[in-house]
Amino acid sequence: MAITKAEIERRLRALVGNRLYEAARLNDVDLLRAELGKGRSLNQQRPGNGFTPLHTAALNGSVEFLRVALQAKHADPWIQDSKGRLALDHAEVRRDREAMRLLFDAMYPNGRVRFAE
Amino acid sequence: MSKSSGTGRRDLASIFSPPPMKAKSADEQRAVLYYPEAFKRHYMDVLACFRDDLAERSGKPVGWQAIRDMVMQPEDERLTAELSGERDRIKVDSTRPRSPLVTLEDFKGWYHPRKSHVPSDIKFQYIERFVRSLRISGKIDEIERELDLAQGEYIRDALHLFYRPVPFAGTKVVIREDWLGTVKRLVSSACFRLKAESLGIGGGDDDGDAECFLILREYHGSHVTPLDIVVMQPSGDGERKQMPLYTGFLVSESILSMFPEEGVILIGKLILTKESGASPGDDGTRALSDGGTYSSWASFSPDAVKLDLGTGEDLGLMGPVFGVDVGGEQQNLSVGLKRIERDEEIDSIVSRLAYRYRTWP
Repeated sequence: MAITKAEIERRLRALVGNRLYEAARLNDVDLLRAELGKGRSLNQQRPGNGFTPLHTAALNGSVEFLRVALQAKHADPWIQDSKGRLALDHAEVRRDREAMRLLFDAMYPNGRVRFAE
Repeated sequence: MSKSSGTGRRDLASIFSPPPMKAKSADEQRAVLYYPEAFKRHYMDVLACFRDDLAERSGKPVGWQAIRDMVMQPEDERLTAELSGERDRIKVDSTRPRSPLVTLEDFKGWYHPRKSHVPSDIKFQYIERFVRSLRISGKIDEIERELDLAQGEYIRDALHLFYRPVPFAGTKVVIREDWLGTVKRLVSSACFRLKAESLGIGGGDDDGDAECFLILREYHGSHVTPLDIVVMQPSGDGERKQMPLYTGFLVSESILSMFPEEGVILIGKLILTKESGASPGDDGTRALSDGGTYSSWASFSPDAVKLDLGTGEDLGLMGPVFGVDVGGEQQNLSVGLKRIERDEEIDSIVSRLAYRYRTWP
């Protein structure tokens, strides 16, 4: 579904000053906590590539960031970027097993799939 | 707007109270839960290869029941736990309870040679979970490496149909066999390195240690050589972080013999894609673009490769990859990368490059 120009502008405005991506890239847990304290969401997606901070962290192997971020109740590891990839897919390409384990456990809590029949 | 019947006044309670929560219907679930068919087929192939691998290692055939039990182990265990309260009626120890969500018959149908259907999205969730858990354990690394290399060869063959050096100009031979031998020696499995001082965007002191590698795979008669551009960045704890930046192919356009002392020059084109889809900053680099084709002169010599980065947009896109500060530059810029020998570090980089991003149509 196409998004409106106003929606793009709203998203861009929300991203200004959002340092969650920087925290994700640099594996900076203090910065993550500070940004979460300001009410930033880990599920916010970049307008272009659709990355959430979890995608950026998985791409960069920021394991400590993932460990703390995935404890936040609102964090959704099932969000896909604009190429249809999960944060776990980025960790898998790098075979970053620690990051893979963290994301896998968040995606399948107690081994349960999302939609059981 | 709802109104209270008879009075005509607005029912404010209905405005401010949250809408009643409703469980997602099957149709709504399907809208959220969607797996492309190619994705499913790839995972089913991986599972079949895993079964063959398991049979080869154990020296005895592995049936689909064994695979089904591995896939559905969490559900079976939960069922066992639920039924354990009914021991007086069901003999749990002797009859292994199996979840009916995915059955042996399902597996037989999916892998039947005369049937072509794939698992439904709901049932496929269990396959996906199992394959991803195998990936974490490293049990399918070799399988996926082989599948990815096969995919690379498939793309190489496809590109060969479009890009091939022309051996004749009219009746005159312009490519000689001995030149091809020289090109193969210069290109095949070659590795080049560049200190990329301006790649870091963090502004930290460690930025100067970033290195850019251009790694080529084997060159063969198709004149299409897979290549990767990788950045090794300092991660702050003394380690270096591997960032696969671009992946693609070097395609030979023409091969020239210049003066005898200069040897052979390969004029090639780089077809590069930024497979991760990361935008500048997400992967700690300034490199732009998520794909594109770049015409580039590549001049290979025994100790280096010189790449012409072009001008304008091409330069703007490729400059940052190789640490060239473009800064409004309009003239033609080139960059030289030093040839290095393959060592353990390069082998380690190459082995980690085996796992590719895949795009599902």
